[in-house]
Amino acid sequence: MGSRQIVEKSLTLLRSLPRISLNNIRDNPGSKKTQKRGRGQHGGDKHGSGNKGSGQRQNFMRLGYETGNNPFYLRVPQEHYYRGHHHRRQYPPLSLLTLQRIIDTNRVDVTVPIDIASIVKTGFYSFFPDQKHFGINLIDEGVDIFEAKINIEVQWASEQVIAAIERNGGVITTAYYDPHSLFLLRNPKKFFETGQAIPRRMIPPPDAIEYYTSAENRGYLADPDQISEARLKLAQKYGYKLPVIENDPKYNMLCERKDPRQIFYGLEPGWVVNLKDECILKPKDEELKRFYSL
Amino acid sequence: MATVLRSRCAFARLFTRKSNRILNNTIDSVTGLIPESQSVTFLTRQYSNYAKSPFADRITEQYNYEIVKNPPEWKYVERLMPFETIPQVIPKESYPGQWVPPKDEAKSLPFFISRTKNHDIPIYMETTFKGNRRITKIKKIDGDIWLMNDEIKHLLKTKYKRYVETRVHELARFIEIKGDYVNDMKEWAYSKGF
Amino acid sequence: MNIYVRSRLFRSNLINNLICFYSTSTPEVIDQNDRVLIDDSDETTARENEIEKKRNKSGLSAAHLNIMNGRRPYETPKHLSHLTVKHNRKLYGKYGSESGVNPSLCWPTKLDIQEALEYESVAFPYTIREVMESAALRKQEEKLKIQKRETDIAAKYAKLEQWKKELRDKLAKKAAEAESAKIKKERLVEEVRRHFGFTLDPRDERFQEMLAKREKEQRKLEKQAKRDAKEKMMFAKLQQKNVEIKDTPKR
Repeated sequence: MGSRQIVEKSLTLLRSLPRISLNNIRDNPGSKKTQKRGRGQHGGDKHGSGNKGSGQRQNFMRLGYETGNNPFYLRVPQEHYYRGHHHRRQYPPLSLLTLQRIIDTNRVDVTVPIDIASIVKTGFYSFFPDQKHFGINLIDEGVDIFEAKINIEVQWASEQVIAAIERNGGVITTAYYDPHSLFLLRNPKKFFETGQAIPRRMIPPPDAIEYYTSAENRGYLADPDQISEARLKLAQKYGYKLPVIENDPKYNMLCERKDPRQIFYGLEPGWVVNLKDECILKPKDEELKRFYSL
Repeated sequence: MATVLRSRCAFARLFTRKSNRILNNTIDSVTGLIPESQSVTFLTRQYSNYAKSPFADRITEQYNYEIVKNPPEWKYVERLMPFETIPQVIPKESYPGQWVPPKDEAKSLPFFISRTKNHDIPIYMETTFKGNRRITKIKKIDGDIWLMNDEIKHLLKTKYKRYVETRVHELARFIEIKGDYVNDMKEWAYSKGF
Repeated sequence: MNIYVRSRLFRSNLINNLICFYSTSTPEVIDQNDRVLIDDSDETTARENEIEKKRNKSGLSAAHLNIMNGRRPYETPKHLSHLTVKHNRKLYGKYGSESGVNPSLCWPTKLDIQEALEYESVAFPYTIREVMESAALRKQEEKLKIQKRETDIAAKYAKLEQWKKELRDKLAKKAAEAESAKIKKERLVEEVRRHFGFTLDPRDERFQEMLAKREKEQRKLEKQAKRDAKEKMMFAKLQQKNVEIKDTPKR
């Protein structure tokens, strides 16, 4: 009898109580552990660390150290395949699958040319020019599902990727940017707020020039005639019919390219863009004009 | 770095004086000559720095420039500006990029999983203890979470023929499933239309 | 800046109206130089300051309030860096023409341009065409090198069978010689043994003596055989000559 009364009483109490929420909860009893490490003359003793040596002093040897022996990891002769890798140009990958997903979710506008600035803007591509990153390497993951017709500019692309983009009637260009330009492309707003004039893009270093002048890689310094020839050749190699760009309603967009000295689409070197006043300052001084047109 | 550059430039100065080279950071058609005073100027690379930046009142140059308000090129600038919010997905016939759109019929179900701000389904795997404990976590659940829990348990039990441990957090609106069932759960959620 | 000025104007107008209400003086005059009016009376400025203070509910400092409203934080420089070109450019970039910065500062000075040009002349000493040409040349050279090596190998490979045969013959000849020498020696030893009628230790003096003798004999025999062969050959040659001599006159 008594227990039932208690149950009923507690149930009525529970009904009148507010619903459980963040402001009236607390930890379960015993869920928080108290400090185990005893203090005082004998309370602490060795605190569970054992007696003598590395264990007690918690000064463990570095990994692989064999107390004066020639360590195993140094006993085997090495071959330095990656020597100097931190000086080489890095091209972090972006897959065609991700690119398709970016396009599907309307993160980039396919009615205008796509370059590294618009890719970085989507947030799907992490890019750090200070870590020797030199731009996008478009890789062939998702090469079969890719369906978008785009005018894209990347920094590195394989043959399959070029074929996948051109099969859909798109255009791909590989272009080199020096690190300074890449910093601007990564965050154009920040650059415009510094109030500097847009600089020129530098020419590629000698070891990269071969890549960016060859029509097979759709380099930005290659001869356009050779590129159209290479497009046809690639279409024959992979067995697809090359769509005729000239008859395309998007012909003007597909033909849009940057000047080898240009960093942003439509903005020339030497201009100052002011975001507050929404105006562009164009130099009229002869010397400035000469410098920026070099 | 600075010393290296300085020495390199000194070498270049000698070199240029000897052979009178042309300035070569140019696209082929345009070539400019190095100014004659270059052998006199002390050259270091000036990185952006307040300490190295000269005082504004010392600058004597007054360049001629033109301020273009509402320029036709402003659309190119607008293109470069970052998104203020993540853009909404415009409905299309097909999504080849493996993104699955939410369906309207899911709204009539007694429970609901809302999409994240990136239009993804909030089903994740959480690994702890160096990958030894794998937990599938379904977040952002609305409606009858217990019913959803029962359905998930039943689904996984029929598929894998074994008991599946789950944990329901009613307050924080998530369910945790012991084990790696991320792909199963995503498939299930997409089939439901979340 | 504009907003700030406008609010001040607005407020002074309000005050003017108030003054008008009390003193019925001409408002046009006051409108023209309201600043003077504000400066004139300490009381009004104090009041205005108080209103301004009360209006700033955020409790932000003047500089922060300016930044929040899109104005440059302060007119007077507070630090040496605020005098620099870099800072002035930033002010212009962020706050536009209202910042009062001369936009001509945004471009590099003539010295900067010169230095940039010199830097580029060192950093990029060749034009694209030159680099392309040198790259093509290098490629061609490498190709030639490989080609040369390949032709070299091909020529050597053609001779390989002949060389192999030569080597094999040489080895076989050497082995045959060694074999014959061994047989000869064995025969000698055997002969010596037969001479004595018992097996003698090869290191024995008698044995050595006998061996030397036998060898001498052998050599003699060989010499004789050689001489005979020579004579025979000469004889044959002479005969042939005779035959030839006999033959020629007939023709």
